[in-house]
Amino acid sequence: MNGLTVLKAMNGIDDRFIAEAVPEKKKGKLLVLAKAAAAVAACICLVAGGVYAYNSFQNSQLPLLSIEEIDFGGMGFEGSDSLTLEHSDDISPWNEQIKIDKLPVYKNLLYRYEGQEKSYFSEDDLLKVAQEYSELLGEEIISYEKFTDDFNERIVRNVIAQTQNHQVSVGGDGGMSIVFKNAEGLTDLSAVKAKYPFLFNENDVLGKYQEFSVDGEPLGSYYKKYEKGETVEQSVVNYTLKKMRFTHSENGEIRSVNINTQQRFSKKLGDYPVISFDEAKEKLLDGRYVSSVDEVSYISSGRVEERLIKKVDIIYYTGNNQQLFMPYYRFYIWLDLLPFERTGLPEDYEHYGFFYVPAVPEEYFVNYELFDGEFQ
Amino acid sequence: MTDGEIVRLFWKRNEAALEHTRTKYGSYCRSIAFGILRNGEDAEECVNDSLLNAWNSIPPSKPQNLRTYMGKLVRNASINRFEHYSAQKRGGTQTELAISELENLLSDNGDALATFESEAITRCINTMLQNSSKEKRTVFVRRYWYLDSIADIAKAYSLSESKVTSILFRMRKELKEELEKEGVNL
Repeated sequence: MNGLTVLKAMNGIDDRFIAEAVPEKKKGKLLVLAKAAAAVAACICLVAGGVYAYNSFQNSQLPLLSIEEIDFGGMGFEGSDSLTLEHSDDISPWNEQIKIDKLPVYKNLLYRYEGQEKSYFSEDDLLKVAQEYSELLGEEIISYEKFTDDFNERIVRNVIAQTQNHQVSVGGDGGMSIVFKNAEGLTDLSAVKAKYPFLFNENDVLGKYQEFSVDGEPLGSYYKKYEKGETVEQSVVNYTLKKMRFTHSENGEIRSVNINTQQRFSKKLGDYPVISFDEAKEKLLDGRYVSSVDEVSYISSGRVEERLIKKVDIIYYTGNNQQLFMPYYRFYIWLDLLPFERTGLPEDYEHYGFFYVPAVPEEYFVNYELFDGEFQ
Repeated sequence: MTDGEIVRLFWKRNEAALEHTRTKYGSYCRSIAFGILRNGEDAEECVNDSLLNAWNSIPPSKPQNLRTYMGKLVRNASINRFEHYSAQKRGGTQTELAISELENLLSDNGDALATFESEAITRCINTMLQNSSKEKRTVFVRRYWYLDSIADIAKAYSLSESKVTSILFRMRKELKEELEKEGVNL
């Protein structure tokens, strides 16, 4: 009976292979319950595609949340593969010594419910934003183009408006950008500030970053900024949802700014309690996270370990595939197996993968039990 | 409670370790045992046996991943029980089907081979899995470690059953070649 011999020998295979193939039977069963709960929630709240319900049976009036699959999109994985942490300015408003009790969660009004025929915001809505920024730039829109969803022409993904000296692009995911067609003299941020004061605030927090290609070639630098809030909590929100990124072109001019405008397209559901950093770390080490990183391929032990944690911040995961904008602890995990050549890179350059742990406690989710690291 | 904290309880000989392990990984272990034995009562007994084995083996063991550690214990206990019962019991279970699929990988040299070469076979399986893509690897492990049906695997990964069958066929072929290369099958 040598088949049984092989079957028995299978018992000794590497833990990593067993862990990555954990069946999701429990998930499937609970998924039905979660979907049912979400369906009930949708009925109660009369919200199409609703993912939360008013938790009337608990003391809190906060709507229950649903953990969503993060669609990282594209190939590869998400992480800090262009920056050396030691070589970047850390502008995160939060660190492990700061205790945060509550943070807001938002409903993304731009979310396109699967099967739904139109996005929440129309071409006119997006054009209105482009118009607003054109006015701030002191120019008029000369022409514009709209780009529709690959599968549904009625969904406008992007509007790109041309003015005399600028190109204003407004995306269906709440992101927008302004391209400076005439960037002469815009060699540093102070020059940009002098020309475009409406983009800046007194309390801006600024970081400058250096990008590298995968094989170590310096690609240029960019600035990132957000407005410091009156509280740490507000700063954490602004850190993601009101972020701007100014990018240098190859000739050293700052040619464009990317602006996160998600808060314009979202509705606050409430202020939710936040788990502590230690609790988040415990969940991370327990495999309860979301990540696009293949641990087996890029981490020598096949799993996230405490020694691999290099940095943590709190961010809001955004994108128009997210029904909710909610806070996550984002762990920068050293990928000690990444098989990239390091020619030309700084000696201490390392690649980091992003691993996310929801900052809101489990009891505020209808489906937290599903969240076992198997969403990737 | 993290795996590390539970393992520490084992090391302190604190029986709460058993309860925490059951709470955290009981259903996982039960599903493995049930997949092999297709009998709830037997599966529960195997879970209990594996908890006892964990108590007896930690320390000296210090598992880094308690889930897979418990999974291995309960799988081992379940296969032993299956072997014990197989003479007089059931036909057509996933375990028997999986065994029949793996039947021609080794020449039939009897139990001596099984004992002598077990570790070498495991090494070959690990090598073969390491050299496979994640998709293929998980399909293989789901079939021959978790003893899931081909239909369930197809559903889980949105593949057709024929695709799963094809993946398994090719991987068994690769494993056979690896076994031959290492002289295990000679």
